[in-house]
Amino acid sequence: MLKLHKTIESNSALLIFGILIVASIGGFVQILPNLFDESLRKGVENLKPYTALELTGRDIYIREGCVGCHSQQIRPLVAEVMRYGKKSVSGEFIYDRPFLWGSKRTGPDLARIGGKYSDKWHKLHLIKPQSVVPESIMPAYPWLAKTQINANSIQAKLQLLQKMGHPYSDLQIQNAKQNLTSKTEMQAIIAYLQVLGTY
Amino acid sequence: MDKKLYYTDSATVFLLICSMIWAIIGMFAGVYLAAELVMPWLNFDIAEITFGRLRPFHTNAVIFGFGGSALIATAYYSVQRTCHARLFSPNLAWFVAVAWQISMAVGLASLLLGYTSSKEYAEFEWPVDIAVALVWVSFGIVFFGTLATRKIRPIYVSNWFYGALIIVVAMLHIVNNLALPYSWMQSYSVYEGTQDAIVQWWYGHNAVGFFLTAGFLGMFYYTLPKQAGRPIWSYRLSVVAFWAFVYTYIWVGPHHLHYTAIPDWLMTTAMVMSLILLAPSWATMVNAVMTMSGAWGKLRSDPGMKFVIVSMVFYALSTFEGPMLAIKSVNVISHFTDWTVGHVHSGALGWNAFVTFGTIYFLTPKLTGVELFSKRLANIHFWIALIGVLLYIIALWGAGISQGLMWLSLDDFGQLKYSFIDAMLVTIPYHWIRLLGGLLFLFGTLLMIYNLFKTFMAGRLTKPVLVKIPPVHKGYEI
Amino acid sequence: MTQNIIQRLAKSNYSSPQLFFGYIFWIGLIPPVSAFFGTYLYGWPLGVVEPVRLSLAQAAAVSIFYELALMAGFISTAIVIKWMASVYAPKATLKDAFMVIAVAGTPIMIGGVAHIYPSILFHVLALSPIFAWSGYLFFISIPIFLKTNQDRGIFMGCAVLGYLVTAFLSLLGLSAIAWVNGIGPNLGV
Repeated sequence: MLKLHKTIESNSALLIFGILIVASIGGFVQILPNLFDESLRKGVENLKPYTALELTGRDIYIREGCVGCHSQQIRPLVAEVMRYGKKSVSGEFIYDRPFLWGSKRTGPDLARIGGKYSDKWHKLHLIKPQSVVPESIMPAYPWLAKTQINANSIQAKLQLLQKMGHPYSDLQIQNAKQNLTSKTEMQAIIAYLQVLGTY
Repeated sequence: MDKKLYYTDSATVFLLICSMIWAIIGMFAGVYLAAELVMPWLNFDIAEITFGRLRPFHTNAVIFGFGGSALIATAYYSVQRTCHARLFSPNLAWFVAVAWQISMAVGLASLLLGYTSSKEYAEFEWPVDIAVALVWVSFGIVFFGTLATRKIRPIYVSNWFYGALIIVVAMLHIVNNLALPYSWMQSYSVYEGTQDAIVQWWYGHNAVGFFLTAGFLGMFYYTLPKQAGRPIWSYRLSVVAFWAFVYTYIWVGPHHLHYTAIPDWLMTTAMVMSLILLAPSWATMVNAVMTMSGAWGKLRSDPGMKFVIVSMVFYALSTFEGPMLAIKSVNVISHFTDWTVGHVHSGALGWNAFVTFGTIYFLTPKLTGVELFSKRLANIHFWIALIGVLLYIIALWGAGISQGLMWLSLDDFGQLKYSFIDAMLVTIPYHWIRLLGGLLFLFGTLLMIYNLFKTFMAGRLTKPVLVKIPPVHKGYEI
Repeated sequence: MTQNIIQRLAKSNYSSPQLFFGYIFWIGLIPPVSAFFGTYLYGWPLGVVEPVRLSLAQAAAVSIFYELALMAGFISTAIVIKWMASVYAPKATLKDAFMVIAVAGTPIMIGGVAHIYPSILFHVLALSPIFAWSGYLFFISIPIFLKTNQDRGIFMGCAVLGYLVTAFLSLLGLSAIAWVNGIGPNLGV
């Protein structure tokens, strides 16, 4: 065995290929089957793709880095289900590009935040979190209410998603820009938050 | 004077300077983030510095700016000397060095402006990703080109690790960042939902495994024997450890996704492989300790040595804590808490930063031709940095366990005992201690920069250091 | 001055059982007993809610586990020191290892009296200097008790420190596994 290694370590090409092959095995086993696993791509019933407004809101969520403090993944643990709602299942996330499961809860999980608080509460909370949760350490996002949505890319976004298999109709895509006129970023992100976990 | 007879180290010097600058920028961002958590008014309602935008700035600056520059610098330095050959293409090497800094600067600025993919440690959007890929391939050409044109037949173990770094990171970067653009700076992932999660953490964990571990082990396997003046204790162990490491690490990604919506078999496989990973990780540590065990006298005369030795202690701790956190029962408590953050930093500060500091303290006199400006300052740096790391990780153990337990606690009636805010309030004192730890660490790094600056200034007055490529011993020629 | 005291102690001739049962065991009782009183009488305040109170039986159980963990920690650390000494300090014996633990562990054990006042902040403020002092005693006493030179002593100290953090971390992990499997606080898992 060591003799074989003496050969590999004296030949840079063998070393390169050796590393590539050995390091690829895990990925092949773990990722490839899932790419062909239809059950992972089967949506839950009644799941709809994000509307233009909700998608805009989602992209604002990504832009502001909300995923750095908030998770969107309820684990099948008794206390967690009690606190946040039904456990998260794969079929809920088939329209999520990228996924936003998060890896840290500086703030609470948001997987099923949809419908739990009023639009007004969300607006107050985002403009100044401490106004509705006095001990909150969340930063304030007052500019969201003062910024109109930039709708220039919404058609490109929807067309791209349609190409990737999201069931948008051509009519929906055509009307998207119109639907976003004179709406603020605050309205967009609230629309997104209100749809989370509801289907 | 025929340049070809000498090693070329100018790109290394440039990269080490950049590395230290990114260290200050990245660590300052980290300290600011820690401060924002206990004094939220520090967000100042300015979008670009809010926690959510600053966090990926911090992670990318320290991992790729500080760590990446140091890895490329030390790869250039050590590959030449272990090959008895000048860098394959010093011009391309310089291109890599400069282009890396530009990519980092542009990428980091774009993150603050809100252009992010949101995928951890892969937040740069598609144009920056492409630039990084091109620079990385060029780095591979320089590195493997030097290996291919070496004068000594066997390839030394540090080069296996650097080689693994380059190849595997290229694979990870390309596969995970696959996205289709919808604007000049924004895109959507080609993967969706659960698929995306699986690919992301295959990447995310192996970014740690190959960028932050394999790459730095390459640094370590060169620096340690040189500093200790002794060869690596066991060649056989390094062979087994290397291949086991490269094979096993790739499997453990899904331990970041325990109890999520991914398939059960993935979680179990990841947990088992994470536990197995303990073996090759600790094998390297044993090799290191046994190599060091003869170099007693060096500890007093070489401040960098203390950093390298203690880096192994934290390497051992982190590579023990990782598999432990990958056990599903432990993960129930730790997932989403500060325990994970503490674990990251015991590795990032205790292992990566320490081994980098040790290596830079070791290389600077060699590259400048003058003694380190102040050994005393380097010693003070060591103790301050050590206390900083210890405060940091102990504080976050406290915070993490508190969070984990309080989130799951039920009262006598089977109802949730604590609200989310209750748990958050308990972590506040721990977060203050963590801030202190981070401040100490940052302060130590500032001391180092001052020390290095004074050393470089003194070095400018002497002739440039030129190292002639020594001949290869008989029997080892290619 | 500390060094003189340690050097005088090094000349003494206690055996390992004498050190353990005659001294270490007794100072090792201070933290668990203090913890019992603090937890049972006052309870640990965690944020805005009522302090966490435990029943007599629960508080006693926690203290006993604490005591057992400490004893296991002392004995295992002594064994690890002896084991590592084969490389770093070949003249050391098991009793020398116990001497190191006895001296370096004393401030921390006495500091355990802080458990009577259950407050995280108080513990951090009071125990930080105590741990620093223990760390200092640890590093100076190793070369003296284990009869080796200072350089090897520092290496050895780092190695033992590595063991200590790893052991403590294992304790955290084992605790987490125990909690999730029902031993300890009532968790909804």
